Amino acid sequence: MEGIIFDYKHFSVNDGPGIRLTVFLKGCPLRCKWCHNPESFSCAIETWNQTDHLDGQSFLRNIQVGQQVDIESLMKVVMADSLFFSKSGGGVTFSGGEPMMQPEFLVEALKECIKQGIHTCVDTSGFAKTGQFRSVLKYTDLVLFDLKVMDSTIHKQITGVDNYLILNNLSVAVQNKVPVRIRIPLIPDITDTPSNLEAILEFIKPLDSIQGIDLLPYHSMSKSKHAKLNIDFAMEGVENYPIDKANKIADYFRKWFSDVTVGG
Amino acid sequence: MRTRIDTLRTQSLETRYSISDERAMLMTEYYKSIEGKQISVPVARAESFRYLMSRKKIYIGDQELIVGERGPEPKATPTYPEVSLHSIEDLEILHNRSKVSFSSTEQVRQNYATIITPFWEGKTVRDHIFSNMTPQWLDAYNAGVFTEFQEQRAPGHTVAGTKIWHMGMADLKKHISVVRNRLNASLNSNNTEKLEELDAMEIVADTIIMYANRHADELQRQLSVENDSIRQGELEKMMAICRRVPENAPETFHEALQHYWFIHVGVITELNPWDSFNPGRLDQHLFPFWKREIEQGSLTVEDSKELLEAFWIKFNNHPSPPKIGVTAKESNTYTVFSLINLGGLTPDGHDAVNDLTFLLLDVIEEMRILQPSSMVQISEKNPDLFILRALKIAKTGFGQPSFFNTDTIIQQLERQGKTTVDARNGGCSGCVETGAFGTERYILTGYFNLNKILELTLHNGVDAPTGKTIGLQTGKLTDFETFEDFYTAFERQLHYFIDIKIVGNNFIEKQWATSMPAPFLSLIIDDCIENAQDYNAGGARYNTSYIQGVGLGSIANNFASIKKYLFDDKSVTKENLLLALASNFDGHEALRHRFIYETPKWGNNDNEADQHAVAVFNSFFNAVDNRETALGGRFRINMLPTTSHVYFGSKLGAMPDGRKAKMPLSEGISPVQGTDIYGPTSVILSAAKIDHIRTGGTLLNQKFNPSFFANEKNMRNLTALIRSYFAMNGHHIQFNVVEAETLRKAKLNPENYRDLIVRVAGYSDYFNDLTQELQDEIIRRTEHETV
Repeated sequence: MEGIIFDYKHFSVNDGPGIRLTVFLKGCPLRCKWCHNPESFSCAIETWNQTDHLDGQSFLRNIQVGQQVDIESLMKVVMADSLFFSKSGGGVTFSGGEPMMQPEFLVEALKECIKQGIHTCVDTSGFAKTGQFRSVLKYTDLVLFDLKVMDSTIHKQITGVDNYLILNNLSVAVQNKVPVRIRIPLIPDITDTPSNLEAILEFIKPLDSIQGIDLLPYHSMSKSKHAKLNIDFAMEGVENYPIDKANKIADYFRKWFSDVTVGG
Repeated sequence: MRTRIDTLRTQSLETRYSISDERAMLMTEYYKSIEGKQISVPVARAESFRYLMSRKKIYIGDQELIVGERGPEPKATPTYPEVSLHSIEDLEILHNRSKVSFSSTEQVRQNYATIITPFWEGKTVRDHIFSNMTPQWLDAYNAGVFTEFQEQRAPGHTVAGTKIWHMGMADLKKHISVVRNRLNASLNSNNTEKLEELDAMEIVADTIIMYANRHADELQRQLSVENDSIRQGELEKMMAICRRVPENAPETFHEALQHYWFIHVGVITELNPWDSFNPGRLDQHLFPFWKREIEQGSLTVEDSKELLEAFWIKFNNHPSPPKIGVTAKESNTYTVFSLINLGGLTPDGHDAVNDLTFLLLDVIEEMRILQPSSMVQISEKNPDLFILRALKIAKTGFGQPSFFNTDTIIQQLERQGKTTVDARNGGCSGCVETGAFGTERYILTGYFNLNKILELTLHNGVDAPTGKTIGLQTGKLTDFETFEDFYTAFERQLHYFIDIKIVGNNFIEKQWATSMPAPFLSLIIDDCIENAQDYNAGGARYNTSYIQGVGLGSIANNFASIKKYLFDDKSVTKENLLLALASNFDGHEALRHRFIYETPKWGNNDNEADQHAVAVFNSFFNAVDNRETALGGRFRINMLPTTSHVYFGSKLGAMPDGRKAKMPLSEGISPVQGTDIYGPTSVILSAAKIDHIRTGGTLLNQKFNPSFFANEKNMRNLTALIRSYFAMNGHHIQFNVVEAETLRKAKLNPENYRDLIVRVAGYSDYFNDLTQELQDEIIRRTEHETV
């Protein structure tokens, strides 16, 4: 069984508890305008051009984005960091892209981690077939579940997909009593409108396996990635999200949830 | 911070560093007075100490609570002309240079020219050393293969143990007398030298008692003219203390601090055992005094804190004596490397963290001064709270305290043959150097430039920058068929130069043993009295001489390039590599780009690079470890650079990792600056591949963006990061918590950043006091952050 992975982040401290290894699976059905990882859109292995400046000259390098990895190789990377996981209460987080785009590989990888006693997180948009989502939940200790926009029309406009499946899958996770953290990307005038934040709060209030909320303020670091991939950057000119505004939104959610972070 | 402390601290920080000729003049007077007289070397040393301590100016500053200065006043720094003689030009350079300067008056320079220099010229330890080194040694030394510590400073590098906290000089004299009686009663007639050494020890014990009483006399004088009743009370109390200690064992907390301080001044005045003499496990030593008095109600926590802070300021008043010549570049700093150890284990192996540990951490945070430096010893048995408290100080960005692994330190010491209890009483001093406190003479003998050995191997024994043949002719690069053959040639060069270094060391050790004993230090370190043998002659229970390997990260990357391009894929010809290096990559930029961007690098948990660090480490270990020293001790290795990675880099041409000529090397066992791209866990996984247990210390530096320390969750993750590294036997890790941007601004506008402190390599320093090369090197280090 092989999957396509486009990056690993070691010493990842914002994608779940403790020190984690975040494994980024390639491929995503969504096209969020603010996406930080546009190299994850396509399921295929790509190359991008990197220009290095050295000694007054420029050098071009072709960098391969994505590699085919089998479970055994993946587990070598995972196990190398296992001492950090056990000392910190951390583990592995599967992110993307949308990790559910490679459901069989994801389930196999999760199973193997659980077998090794490693804590697992899945960072998902929730956009997946419910049957596949259920099978992933079985091996997931904590779901990091993105909620962007509650209005289905707007959701479709800004991500390219409807949110019906997403909201349904969130309910499935809760019904199965799998711990969930809600992650809300703070995108100015898109996700951070009072009506949207209120709608999110109203939706998640009654859900009883929600452990907490992470607000993820927008930052513009992905601009250069878009350029390298020749993808239009829809967020041109949008500044990094103001931290005090994010803190105010956090306070808003704290009225209902004790564990609210800015940044995860 | 109380007003008194604030005032004393400000005074200490603002007083200019200066050269005092008081010691040099008195020593000259004394040695002139015994010319032509029959007097044994140790007794002459002891008598010169008495001559000095009975005549030197007594300084007691307004509002001081702990007294005793090495010079005539704070920051007035003596010289040691019997060891190494500053030239008039040296004094002028020190006076005029913009960084790490020491002012000197016309009078001082005149005394040097007319009295001090004429007497000592040709007679110093340094003169004897250089005139007795072989041409091979001198070639290697001049090419920057290694440095030599003992050419202008005494073998020191030791730390006081438990003995002095429950024994006064009177008790030590009793011990001397017991040993003397035993020697006199024995039938062995060859005891003369031992008896002379005991006589010397007794003289210096009496001398320090006399020195304390001179302070008591001065306090009495000040009392007689003091009008303030509160200060009168303090002076009276201090006077009583100076009459009691160090003659008798201390009984109160205040006495304990003053007792230690007199001993400290004694050690650093007798000779310049640079670096780092210090009280070591201070929270352990002081705790019984502190607890008893707090419980009895004779001391409040606030008063004890004030005393500790007054004690801290005394360290800051005493910069390291300025060096001369090549060692100035090697380690150019005011820092003396006195390293206070906190935490760790008790002698019976339990968690040693106590209430005083935390109070001392408060003191460190509040004082925020470079000296003394501080570290926390962390055992598996110490609580997380201890690490978190220390991290909260590290977070403030002055590089203290640094983090050490007690469990590894103990294993290192046990491997070297120390008893478990002696090992548990040990710790680290200087930058990261392991020692059994109070029982071991452990000295650094010199930094060793591993990359120079590689450069010499690449060039068949020729020192590339100078064109001079100084090494073995191990073969032309173009003739090597396999990487293994090339590595074998490297090992031959390594052994050749280690042998040269060790032969030199052995001469130098004997030179110190016979010409420059240290009877005062010998009182303090067991078993010098019992053995009736000087510290510098091997009298300590354990005797260790370290050679410090420098540039592990750089050499791993160099070998990775050589193996990959010259021997594995053969995509670079050997001729072409030599051309590229000779031209400093001019016209070979594309090659340099490949070396930098497309070659495995140490610090990324990539075995393609890491295997070479492990191999070089093992070769270095095998060349040095367990060889016998001239005094019957053992040679060991540790991996630290202080600032020699800059000096050694300046002596090297371009290298196959893409480093240009003269640029600094990597420091400690850290990755080459800016090449660790997978974060601190990968750095740690690489660093843990070498066997730290077989060293006497390794140094790992990690730079973090301050934003990372901003939340509690990250602090807990850092605690886990430290715990993980230590579970892998990592020896030490330290954090630079500063934005690269801040450093860049500070370099441009130093006047706005006068208080900016950074971690260098095993010690902290003011950013403004660092050389430009070192400033740039720190800026280039990879900064870990979280996005």
